Amino acid sequence: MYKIAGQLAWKSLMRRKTRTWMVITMIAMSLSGLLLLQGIYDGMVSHMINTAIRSDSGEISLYASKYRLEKNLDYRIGNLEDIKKYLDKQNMIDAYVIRLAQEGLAATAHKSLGAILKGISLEDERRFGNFDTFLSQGEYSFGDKDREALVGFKLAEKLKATLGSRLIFTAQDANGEINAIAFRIKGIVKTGGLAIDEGSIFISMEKMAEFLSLSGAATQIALRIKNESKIKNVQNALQREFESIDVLRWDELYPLLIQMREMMDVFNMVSYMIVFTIAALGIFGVILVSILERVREFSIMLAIGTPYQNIRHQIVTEAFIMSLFGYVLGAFSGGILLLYTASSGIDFRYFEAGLESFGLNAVLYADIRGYYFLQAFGAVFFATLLSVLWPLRVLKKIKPIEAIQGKML
Amino acid sequence: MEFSPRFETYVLLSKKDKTVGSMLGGIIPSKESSLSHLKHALIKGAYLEGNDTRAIYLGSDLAKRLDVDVGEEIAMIGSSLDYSTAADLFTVKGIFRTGLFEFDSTSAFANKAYLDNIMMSKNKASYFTLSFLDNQAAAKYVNALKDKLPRTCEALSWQMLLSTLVQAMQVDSLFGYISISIFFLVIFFVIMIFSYVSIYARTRQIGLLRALGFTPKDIRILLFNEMLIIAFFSVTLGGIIGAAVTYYFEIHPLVVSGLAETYKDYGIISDALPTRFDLFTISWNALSIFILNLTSILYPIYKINQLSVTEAMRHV
Repeated sequence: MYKIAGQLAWKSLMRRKTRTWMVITMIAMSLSGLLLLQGIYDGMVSHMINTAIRSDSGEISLYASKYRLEKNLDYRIGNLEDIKKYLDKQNMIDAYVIRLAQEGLAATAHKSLGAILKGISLEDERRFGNFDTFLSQGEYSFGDKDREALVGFKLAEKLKATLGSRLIFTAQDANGEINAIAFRIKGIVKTGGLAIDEGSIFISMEKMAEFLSLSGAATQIALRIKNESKIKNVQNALQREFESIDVLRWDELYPLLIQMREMMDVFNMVSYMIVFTIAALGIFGVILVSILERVREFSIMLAIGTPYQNIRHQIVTEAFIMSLFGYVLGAFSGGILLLYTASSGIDFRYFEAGLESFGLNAVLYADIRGYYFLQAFGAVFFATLLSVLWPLRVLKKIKPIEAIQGKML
Repeated sequence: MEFSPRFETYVLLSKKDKTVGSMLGGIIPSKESSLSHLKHALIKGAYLEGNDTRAIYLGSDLAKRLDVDVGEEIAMIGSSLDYSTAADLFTVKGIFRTGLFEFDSTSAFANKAYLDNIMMSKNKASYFTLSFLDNQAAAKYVNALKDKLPRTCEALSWQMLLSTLVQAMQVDSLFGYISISIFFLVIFFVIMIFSYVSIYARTRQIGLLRALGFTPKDIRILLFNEMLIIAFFSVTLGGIIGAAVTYYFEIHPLVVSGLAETYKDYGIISDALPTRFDLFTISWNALSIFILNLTSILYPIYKINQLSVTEAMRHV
């Protein structure tokens, strides 16, 4: 029975080839467009998350309690050696960095701005998140005598400072005294992270400790975890071990990024709903006309004893064959577009400054995830199902004898 | 047109053991109140006045960071125009909140007349801000000022000054257009499918018309006019409904609680999602759909005109 219904459905579709191809093309084109859009939007958020993890938080960060609220050196991590010993023993930790930061005033000869000075180890940062790849100008170095610094590119722009420019940073040290330190710009970094690009200056950890009259202390310890699924376990273990320290995951430190991801998911879902509701109208039109122009044919079938279920099966099969072809074609072309955009990216250099204000690069790369195709299949399947309901109701109301006599037409 | 000079410098503000880097602006309080929202952003204490001396007007988050309240004293240290150290004690006169997180956490203002004494900036300004009743006039003034000002000064419109913001708006529009183009694409196909099936349902009728002497051009005009009527009514109806919905949401915007808090770093200052009732945008979209309607019928007309009279009349 199913085989005959399938064959009839196929023949019916082939009888009206143009119409069938229109529906298939509609599904394929809208699906590939949606897949590309979903990949690009996810890619944008992934890029922001990746940047935040690599340049700042790692998968987990440790702060002294209250530091994040007060930003005061009174709330610093003091027992560094114990923590380092513990972290060195953990297999799940891929790398970690120790940072010491203080807010203050960065000034050139003609301009001053609020900024954050961070003491870091360049080698550790390289291992931690390939920080050297964020360098846009100059050298990834603090100079021979640690007297030079790396500066966020927007901060450098605002200060009108370039490579070699002299900067003076004034801030309060650990004893509460106002201190100043001078250095020259050795390199300019562009991370995509707003906080770093707009307001951070990096100097060597040793110089920072000396400037703040503070050794063996840190304001942040960031960790890279080998296995993403183990982040929570590591967090819990660390929290048990160091009760007085805040142990926070990246998603707790950057709830905005999680919200952005959720908003993108909602946006994608709404886009799918709108597009496939409209697409369902297209399928509905074709199926309805297909039924109406064959009312006599179906009436004869019903009159000679063909069960209604068989005819229903034929109509549903017709709709699903079209949708399936549309899906396969759309998923294939969408997949190719995604693969291309994931590897080569889309160049939006013309809008570079605008994208940077969102923390994005000028070249946008798409994400490819298996569930895109499952989600798309679900949307196509649901739209098809929705589109055949009304035509089937029309079919059910057919009175075979009247239809054969032409009274219903 | 309103205008006011501002002197802007970056200083360290201190209270007890807390020191924070801040932007300190010297303003003319009376002029500023008609030019910006600073006065209306007051949440505690009082706004600055022209005869204030050691009074400072602090952003709410900056006050929180310094742990100061109205009436308390803070120390200021910075560098004056002659590169000497400038230092003074200020009393917090008022606290403001604009909703712009970055601004509220880093900005402070003082009476320019007094600040000029400390910063050696008498008769000097970092910049002038000009506000126009008519936005169109701004561009003309920028050009006129460029000719008049000395070479050491420049005149910039807000679009030039906030070029990043302008680009961010363009990027936002670009992604909006990409999304909407997918919607338009699927709408185009749906209309084309409906046009195609409705035209093909009348193949025999068209064959008859051709037999009676209608030329393919006549058929084209007939079907095109039909679509023109349908498109006109559908677009008018859709336009009216869309405009009504947009107008409603302009007056009663959607409120997403917590939105401003989450996106404060991006300058979002309200939980409300503003909707703009813009006749140009509505007309533009309506026109796009109208054109889509008309173009969607081209292929079905072409196909039906490919049939010969006998083929059309025998069509099943």
